Amino acid sequence: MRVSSRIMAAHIKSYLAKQSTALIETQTQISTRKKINSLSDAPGDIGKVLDYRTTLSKIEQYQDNITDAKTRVEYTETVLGQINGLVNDAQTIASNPDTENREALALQVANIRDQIAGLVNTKYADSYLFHGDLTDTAPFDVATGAYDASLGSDGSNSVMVGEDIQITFKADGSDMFIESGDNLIEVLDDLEAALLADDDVAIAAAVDPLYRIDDQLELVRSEFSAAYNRLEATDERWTSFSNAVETMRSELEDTDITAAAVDLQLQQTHYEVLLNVAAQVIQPTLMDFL
Amino acid sequence: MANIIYGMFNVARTALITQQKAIDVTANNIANVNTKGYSRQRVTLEQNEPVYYQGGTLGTGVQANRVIQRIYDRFVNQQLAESESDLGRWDAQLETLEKAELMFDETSGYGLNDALSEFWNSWQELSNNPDGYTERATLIADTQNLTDVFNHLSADLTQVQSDSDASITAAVEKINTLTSEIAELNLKIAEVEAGNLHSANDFRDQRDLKLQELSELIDVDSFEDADGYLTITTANGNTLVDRTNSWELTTHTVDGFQDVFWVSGTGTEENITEAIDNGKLKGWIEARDTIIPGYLEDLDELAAGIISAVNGRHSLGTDLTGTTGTASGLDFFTGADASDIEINTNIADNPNLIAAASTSEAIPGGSENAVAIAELQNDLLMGGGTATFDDFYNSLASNVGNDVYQAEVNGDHQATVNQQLATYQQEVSGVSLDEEMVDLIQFQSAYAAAAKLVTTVDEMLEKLINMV
Repeated sequence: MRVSSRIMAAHIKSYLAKQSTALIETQTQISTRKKINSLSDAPGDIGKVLDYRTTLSKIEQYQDNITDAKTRVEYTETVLGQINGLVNDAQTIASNPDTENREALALQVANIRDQIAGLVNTKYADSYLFHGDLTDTAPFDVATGAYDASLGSDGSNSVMVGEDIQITFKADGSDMFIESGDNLIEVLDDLEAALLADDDVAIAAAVDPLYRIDDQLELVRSEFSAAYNRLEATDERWTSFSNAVETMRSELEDTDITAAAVDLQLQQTHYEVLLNVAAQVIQPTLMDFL
Repeated sequence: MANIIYGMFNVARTALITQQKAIDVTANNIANVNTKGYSRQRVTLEQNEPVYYQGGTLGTGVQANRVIQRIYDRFVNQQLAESESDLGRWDAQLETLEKAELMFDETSGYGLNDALSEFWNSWQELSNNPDGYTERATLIADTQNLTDVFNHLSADLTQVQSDSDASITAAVEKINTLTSEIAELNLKIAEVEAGNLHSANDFRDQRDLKLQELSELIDVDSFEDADGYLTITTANGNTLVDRTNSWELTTHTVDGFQDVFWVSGTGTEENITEAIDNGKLKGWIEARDTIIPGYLEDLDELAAGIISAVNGRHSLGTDLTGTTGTASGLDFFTGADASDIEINTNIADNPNLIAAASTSEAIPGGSENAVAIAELQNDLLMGGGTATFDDFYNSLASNVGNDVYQAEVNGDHQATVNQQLATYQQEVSGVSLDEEMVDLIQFQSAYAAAAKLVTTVDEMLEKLINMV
């Protein structure tokens, strides 16, 4: 093969160009810590990486939703717990009315009634907890204890925890504090009046409604607790799934720094060898020897 | 008896002149070792016809053929021109597509993929707290971000198309310059070679070079006729150069972009944009007219799908100002495709108009509509019911990456082929300094020997004269 000087020059230039391109690529991968720095670096992988990113974002949002719901449920449980405790106190009074201190007991019941009237109108972050969808109006009238049963007051609170999966929570005050038509506040009002009037029959009549309401409250609380467990379990499941997806994304997208550093070293050496060879090949001509 | 001594003077004279000529050609080769397109030249030495006389044969020396031979391979040049066309096409396409690829900006994480995720997430946030002002304001902000990204992406891709127009116009001008130069060279070569007295080596070199430059820009067919004129036609038969005449190409705006026209002798113009099959023009035209419009179409389809799905659900819901249980939702998006998708300005001004509640719920706590809209992220509404919005976009981004990668791979492959052909051409036509050095020494010693011959004959003659 006849080799002219231009052939040698062209070949050397092209080899050097290829090697420096490889060097720059490795350098970019190390600086950005990503293997994929443009869509064309790995066209098959970029689609998967984008899918993983979408999934991770979705999971993060579901977990945020769950955290939000958990806080709300914890708060609701605190309130319900307090109400339940107060109802138990009222039950004790109603079943064992001390004939001598009826007035003091009446005062106690009035106290209990007022506390409950405040608690059932609790707000969580500016929305009433126990009025269904009507979160901007108070569910119970503080003076009469009547429940505002307008359209939508029976709504529930739902949280998105997965694709097409929602966990719903009761938010209807009438389902919690009214049983078979007996309104808790009204019952307490009646009990107070009965104590003041020394009406034994009326006092005894308060025991059964309070008992039923207490049962109902405990049922509601256990429903909330079950839902809370479900939230926690879902959260854990999402965490482990998210870790798996993140691992897969990282494998495709992130640079293995150690491997890249070794590659860089190899390419650097190769480049220097190329330069050395080029220098030796390109210089001598026949004239040096004449 | 023939005049042998004077004959020898003559022979020595021819030798000196001829070796001088040979060194001159070698000098020319050495001087042009780095000239692009130069084919090495060689002088052909021929023996002069001997004189026959009664006593035998008398040699009459050497002469150099008047025509200096140009060492080149016609077929390699042809192949090289074709290869330049291929390479030009992939280079031009890669250049344009890389610009388009940059617009998608997915590797830094601020592209449409991220904007879409944020958009769906803010609907979920709204479903957690439907009467919250913050959640509504955030939803509006995220929506505006999404529409901005759509608008910019659409505008940027259209800009890339327009940019390639500038390249096409410049290339057409260059083509016109080259064809007229080739026509001129045709004339010069014909003049020099008339009568077969000389070979127009340097003009031919120049013409070959210009043909290759032309092939890089547009695919052409060329052939040299018996008179040495190079005829060049486009792939579909329009003549660009014939003998000493050249025809021009021009560009006009058709459908918003520049198309390439061939101007005939009578002034009629023929649109040859579709017929161009190779070369840089093809690369730019294909990227501008086929590939990027494909991306824009997909993008528009995605935007239109989102607009229709979200608007459809939103209008079925109740907003914070509406009566409970009636469908009072306005259109959430305005616009029809990626270039004009916008959030409804009424909603942007008044967040209470976002319809988070469904018609079976009450306001302000109802969140079913917000949930339904958030769930649209998971519905198979694109690709004829086979893909979600995110899937559709992710596959579009993947396609863009693929197209750029293809152009890169093809370009690299073609560059290798090109280099191989160039190497082969240089093998045949390239100047090797080592070879020229050896030739130089050869001719130099022949010259020295011929000079010695003159001295010897001179001495002989002197002796002869002194004898008398």
